[in-house]
Amino acid sequence: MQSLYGYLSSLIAAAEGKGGGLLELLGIDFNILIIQIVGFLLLLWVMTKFFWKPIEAMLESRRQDINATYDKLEADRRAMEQLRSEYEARLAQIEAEARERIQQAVGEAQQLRDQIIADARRQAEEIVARAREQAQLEGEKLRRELQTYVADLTLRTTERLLREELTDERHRRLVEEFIQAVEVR
Amino acid sequence: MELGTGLYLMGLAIATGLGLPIAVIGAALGQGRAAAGAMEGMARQPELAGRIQTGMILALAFIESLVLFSFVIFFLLQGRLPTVGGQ
Amino acid sequence: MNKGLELVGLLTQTGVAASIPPPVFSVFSLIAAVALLIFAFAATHNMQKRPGRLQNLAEIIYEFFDNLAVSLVGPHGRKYVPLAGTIFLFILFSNLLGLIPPGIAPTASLNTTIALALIVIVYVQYESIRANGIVGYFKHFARWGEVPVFIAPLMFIIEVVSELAKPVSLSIRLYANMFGKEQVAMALITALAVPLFKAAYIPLPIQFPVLLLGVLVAFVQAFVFSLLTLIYLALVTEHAHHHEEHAHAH
Repeated sequence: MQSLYGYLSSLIAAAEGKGGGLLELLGIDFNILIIQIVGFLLLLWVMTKFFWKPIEAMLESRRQDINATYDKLEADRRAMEQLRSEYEARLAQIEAEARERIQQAVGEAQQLRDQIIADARRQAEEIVARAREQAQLEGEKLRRELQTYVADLTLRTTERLLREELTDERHRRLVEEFIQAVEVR
Repeated sequence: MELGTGLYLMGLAIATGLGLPIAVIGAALGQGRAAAGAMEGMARQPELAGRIQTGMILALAFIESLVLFSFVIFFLLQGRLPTVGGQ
Repeated sequence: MNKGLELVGLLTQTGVAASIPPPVFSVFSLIAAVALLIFAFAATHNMQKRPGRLQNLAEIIYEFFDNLAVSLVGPHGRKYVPLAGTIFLFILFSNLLGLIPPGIAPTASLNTTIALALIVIVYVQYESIRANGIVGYFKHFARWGEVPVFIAPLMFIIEVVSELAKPVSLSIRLYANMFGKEQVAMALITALAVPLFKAAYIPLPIQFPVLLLGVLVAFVQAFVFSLLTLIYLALVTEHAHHHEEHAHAH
């Protein structure tokens, strides 16, 4: 035990020799204290300069890096989104255009069909009308020819009859008959 | 040896021997209560465990420092005790 | 007896703190500081965006104290990280130095711990004056505006005494923990291990559990010291910054 507490005992002895003192009893030495204070302040300064500040700077730079990366990611995502929506809009537009064109073509075709039908009908009507007109004309012509022919025939017959024996009475009766026959027609 | 010196040394010996244990008893009870309270708090709110632990360590350190004061006093008193047998 | 004690003492190197003259502790403080600086340079000399193990450890330590300072002191507490962190690391290295056989814990001497406590307390006063002004500094002592005027002088005395008690309790807590641990280990060695070795030549490390406890104590005491540093700083600066925040809020 002596070596264990030898220092304290010698301190106590020294303290008693000097009249006693708690500080000496506890082993407090002002020179050592000041050395320790200065030493720790130096350590603090060096540690701040070479340990804490570099780590702080590193963490800060990494934080900014991460922020920048996330920002870029976000921007990329947004750009992609925009591109996609643009493409979609364009696609929709193209589709709409195509549909419109088809619609237009269909409309045109229908119109064309209507027109063709209408034309055909008109032509047919025209043909029919012309045919009818022609028929009428032909008929009239024929009737006129017939009239002329009948008149000729009558005249010729009359002449022949006259050349033979023809009484007045008989003549008249023939003409009337003839006229009557013609009127019946 | 005079009676006065004998009484002084006796008191010194009793104080040296009993001072620290008494402090330890009190501090142990106090630390037990503090730790129990902290554990209960952590069990009730595990999400605050970190802060409770910090507070608990702080409280334990404060309680402990009281024992350590008496420990230092114990050493001072022990140094006052004379060695027996001329060592 | 002395021979055996020296043998076991060399094997464990604990419990010899009481018989060592103060300058030896300063030498071991220097050793602890140099070890800390070696760690610091090794961790930061080649820092990269993708950290290695040492750099990662250093960053974890930094972030731990950063979080602690911000949660205790507030956003302006970030500037106290170097002080609190250096105190923690130095005390931790000192304490662990006492557990490595040829080493002695410099913190088992009052000179070392009082030096640390004085630095902390003087810095706390400096920060208090800087944050509150010289008038606010004394008003803070008197709890002006928080207690009735006639109690203020009494509060002033109480607060001054408690302010003076801070370095005492800070230094003695650390010193007595380390010194006490070594004394207990030494008592076990001298009372049990040495007689056992002399009687039966069995080198049984009976003090070993105490050393295990010592590892825990090394971390806890280092943490408590820096935690209290931050809390003292928070106590003296919270008022001023609190008012600032109020001013911003209105």
